[in-house]
Amino acid sequence: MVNKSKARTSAWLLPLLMGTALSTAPALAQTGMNTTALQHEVVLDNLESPWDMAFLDDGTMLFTEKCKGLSVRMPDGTVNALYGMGETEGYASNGADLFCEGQAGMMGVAFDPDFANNRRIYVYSTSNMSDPHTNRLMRFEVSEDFTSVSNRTDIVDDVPYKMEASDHPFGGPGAHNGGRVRFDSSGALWLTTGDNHNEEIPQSPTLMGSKVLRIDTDGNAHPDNTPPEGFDPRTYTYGHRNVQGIAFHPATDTPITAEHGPWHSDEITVLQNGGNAGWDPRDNMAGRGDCPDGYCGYMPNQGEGMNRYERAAFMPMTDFETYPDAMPPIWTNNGWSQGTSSAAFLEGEQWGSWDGAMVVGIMGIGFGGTPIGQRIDVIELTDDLQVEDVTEMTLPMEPARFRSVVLGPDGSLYTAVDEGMIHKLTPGM
Amino acid sequence: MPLTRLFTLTALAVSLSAATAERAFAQDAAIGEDVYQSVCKNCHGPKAQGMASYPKLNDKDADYIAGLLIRYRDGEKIGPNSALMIPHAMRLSDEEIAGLALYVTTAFD
Repeated sequence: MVNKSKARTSAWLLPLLMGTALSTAPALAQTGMNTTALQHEVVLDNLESPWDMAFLDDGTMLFTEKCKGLSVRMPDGTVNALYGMGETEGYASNGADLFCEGQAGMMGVAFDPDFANNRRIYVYSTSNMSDPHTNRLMRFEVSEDFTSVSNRTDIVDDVPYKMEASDHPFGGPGAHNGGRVRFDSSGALWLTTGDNHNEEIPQSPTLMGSKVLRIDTDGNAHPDNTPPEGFDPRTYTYGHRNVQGIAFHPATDTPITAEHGPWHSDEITVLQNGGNAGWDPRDNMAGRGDCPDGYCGYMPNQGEGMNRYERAAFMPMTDFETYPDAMPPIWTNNGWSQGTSSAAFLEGEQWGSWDGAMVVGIMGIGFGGTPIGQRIDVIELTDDLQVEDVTEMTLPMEPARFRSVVLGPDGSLYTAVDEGMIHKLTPGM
Repeated sequence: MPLTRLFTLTALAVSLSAATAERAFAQDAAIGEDVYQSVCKNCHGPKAQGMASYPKLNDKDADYIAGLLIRYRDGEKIGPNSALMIPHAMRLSDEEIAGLALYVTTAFD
């Protein structure tokens, strides 16, 4: 039902209302099939851009909302708002320094593997505590009744934040922060970051954007990290663009990232300790001339569609000519950039032949002739971690911007979508 | 659409009977719904609530929405998402722009 009272329609708009012609642009969708039936449940609705979730074994679920803050959903369904951003109301406490802008805000979250004893959690968010502002990985302790957090300690406070707008697609402040926070099975803490549309960051040895960090729970470098000489020792890998997905192979604990591509070539990459992902968007190198604001990330034609392979040749996501030893991606999304965000592994017999397969959430972009592509892909890997098969999951609900995929303790796949929901997908009938 | 034609049609529009205007309003909102739910919702959300770095639309005025779409359709860069908006807007007719402006500002109260 349309409410006419809210339509403040100017006189100049009236003529436009007289028309009847309709030339609706066609909806773009991908098709796929699989043989696994999925049950569907909406776990939470009416959220504002939920970004990530983390679980305890009993089903307790932390979740973040990009511009609001951190909350917890208890096993009985009760939701407690724990830590709000800025002046957001309704939270037990607030971080006055936390804010959202563009793609930045509150992002990844994780429980400490020893949470039962230390009550610690980890949350990544944008902060204005320092100038220029930064992204920070914060550690908190959760009260016994899960109604509040305390003892905030910023264990990483120097992930760069984009302060000013630039002449690029999505070029507002706050671009490309990475944002996923995960523990591997050994208890090491991992944080993924992004390039801020800054051409110097990806290959910088000291700026902590465009990196995958492996650290301990105090923020110190993992002793086994082997970045090149001169690099910040927290660096596990560098030369990334904007990593929003990381998962660990269930059999080997190998870290594998999922990453947004630049108008082409989303990537999944098996990480190598000290490795270079090969993203280097500087101008006046690798055959390129000047680029807008010095950053070639969307060139050679950043405002219009063009052949994705020509784009990749001009500004490769992984530049093997400049960096022959760069880590090769094992999946490039058929050359498309569609907003590949998070990653997880399906585990358990309930998943049938997909037990042990990787899933990636894809948000969809639809620029310049690219199919929008909102979906969850199931990516089956060989023993040597090459892609064996890719299947688009047949969803029991509408496709959406799949920001986060997390395997729950009940063996179901949970996914947060920008539309404001957290869904639960359970295999079988 | 030339401005002179706009003014002519405006004069015609104000002479519509109430019932005709009601039907035209519903028709135009339906046009807007079709376009919005097939394309725009993928970034701005099914209720025009805004998502991620894509702005909320359901709190804006109709003339603001229509004005921006016309400027995008003309190829004008307005803000960081212009690269996405311009190609979409270039496919829109006047009627679709008017319908979109009506739909996103009235359908989600």
